[in-house]
Amino acid sequence: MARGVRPTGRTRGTLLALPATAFLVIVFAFPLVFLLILSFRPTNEYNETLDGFTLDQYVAIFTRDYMSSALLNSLQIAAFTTVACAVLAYPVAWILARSNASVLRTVTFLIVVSPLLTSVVVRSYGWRVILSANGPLNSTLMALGIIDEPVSMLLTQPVVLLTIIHVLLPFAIITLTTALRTIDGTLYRASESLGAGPVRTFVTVTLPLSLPGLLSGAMLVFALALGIYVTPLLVGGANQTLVGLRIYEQVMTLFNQPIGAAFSYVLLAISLVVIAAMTWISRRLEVKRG
Amino acid sequence: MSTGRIEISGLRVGYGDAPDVLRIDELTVEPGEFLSVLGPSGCGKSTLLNTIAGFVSPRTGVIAVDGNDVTVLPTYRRGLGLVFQSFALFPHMSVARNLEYGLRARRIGRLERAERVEQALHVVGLDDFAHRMPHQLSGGQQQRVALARAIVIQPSVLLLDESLSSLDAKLRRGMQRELREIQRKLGTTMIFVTHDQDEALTMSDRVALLAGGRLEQLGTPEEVYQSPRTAFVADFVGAANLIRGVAVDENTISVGSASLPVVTGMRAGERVTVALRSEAVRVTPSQGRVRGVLTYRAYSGDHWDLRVEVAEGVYLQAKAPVGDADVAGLAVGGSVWVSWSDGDLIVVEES
Repeated sequence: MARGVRPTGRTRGTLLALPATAFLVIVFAFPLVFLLILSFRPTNEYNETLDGFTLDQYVAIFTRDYMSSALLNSLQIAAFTTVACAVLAYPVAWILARSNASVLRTVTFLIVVSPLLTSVVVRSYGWRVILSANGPLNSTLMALGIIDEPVSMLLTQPVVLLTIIHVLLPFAIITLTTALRTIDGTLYRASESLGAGPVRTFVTVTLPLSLPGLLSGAMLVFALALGIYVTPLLVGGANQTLVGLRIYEQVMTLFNQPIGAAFSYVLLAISLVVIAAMTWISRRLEVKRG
Repeated sequence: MSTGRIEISGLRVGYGDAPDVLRIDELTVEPGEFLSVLGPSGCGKSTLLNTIAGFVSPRTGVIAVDGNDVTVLPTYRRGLGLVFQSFALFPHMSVARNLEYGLRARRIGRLERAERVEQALHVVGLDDFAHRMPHQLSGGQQQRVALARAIVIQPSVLLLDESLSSLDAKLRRGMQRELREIQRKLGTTMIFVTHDQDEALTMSDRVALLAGGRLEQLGTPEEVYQSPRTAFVADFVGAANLIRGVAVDENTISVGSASLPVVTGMRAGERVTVALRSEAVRVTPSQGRVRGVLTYRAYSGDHWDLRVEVAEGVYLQAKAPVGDADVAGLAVGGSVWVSWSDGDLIVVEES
């Protein structure tokens, strides 16, 4: 050959992406396909997986109250968590995106990411210590005379919600901070100069312009909240009507793998539908803005 | 009825522990006046505008609009119009919605809003653009929308921050003329911040020259150009020749080792700086006040740019009409004569 074969830019890019792609196929795509097949397998009375095809698992998830109530409850918790994170994230993201005080920004950022840097076990037991019957929260409330005897706060849904929000809030804050940073600061000045106070400026300028970032943060929080199980398990125990805990129980305690697989696919489908909807909304906004 | 008079007194502005970046003892802008605030970058002109607008709080001093002290009012209660250098149009709103923004904030009804938006778009010549989005407009059109958005709220004072500097030269000249016509028609007081001296001279009723956070000179364009108070003003507005020397007698100064016949009226031994406009310097092959060497000659369309070394290290810039037959025949490096009228010499203060 007179000329050596020199890879073009595109083939070089493909070659470089190969290891990562192969890795993802092996550890993610294959198991996912395997899981899908598993979810349609029948089981015997000992929960052993048999050959064949059945929709029993999917039917059970939507008809048996034990399963469907967990699904409903998880959806509600995920929705509530998403809204709560969005609302709580705005002021913090505002400081991170627009404050001139670099010390304040750094400290805020460290506090924001601290739940992600802490082991889930340490974080959850931290909550247990604070909220336990003889923990600091109860003793403070008693010392202040607000309550007469310790209130059992663990194992309650509000506390589980609190801990879920705690660990997922950073995702909302970080995506929102990025979105707020991209807004041209003179737009706020323009809004003010036209007679709009802070509230009007937020509603008519900040909110619509940060909506794409808010939506991508919401997608992340929603998907993570829907299947969350370690944090609620460690704080509130295994006996909660949450999908993540039901899957864990089916697979690890009852060894019914097909129903765990089916449940996982139902969660995946819900997440995909919600993400698709949010992506569509955010695309519509982008197109309008150009 | 507001008329748009702005009075500033004892103003001191600074950030953090740093010294003042702006010190203005007294500045009054008359109703309906077009005042340019001119100066190099970092002279404090944007700080002055931001302080009037309410984005920056002064350390001390009072800003009054039509006799009302607005120093501590937030921007959105001052009722001033603002046009930004980057236009700052809301990207998610149509042109009409951008214009309506200030009217909605003032809770003006739908019918009146529509009417005023239409009028304002007509004033800036964008009648058919109401439903476009900002990204569908050219730079010049965005500029007009920004202006329309500011005038639709009918402010008595309009602040413009380098509002034309992001447009190309040709468009800018058109907008300068248009802006001035709109200003005359509406009678709005305008404070126009710019670093472009041509723009300031051609557009303004008065020019305020800022340097180092201080007011160097305030006057009509003619005053600022023809009677600069300081060397800085003379140099910044029209780039005059500055001759720095020591008076030998009333009619002569010494610059380095050379003496030049420059009339200053100063007593012997005093340091003096004299400004001389380049168009007041005549260069001829023979007969003149001072002999020199032509070091540079360039043709620039409507005039010649010349540079003559009249003494060692002392150069004078000159402008000559292209029709000047004498200049056309001069050779760079050759000997020439330079002359001027005594009336063109301006003794200026050093800043």
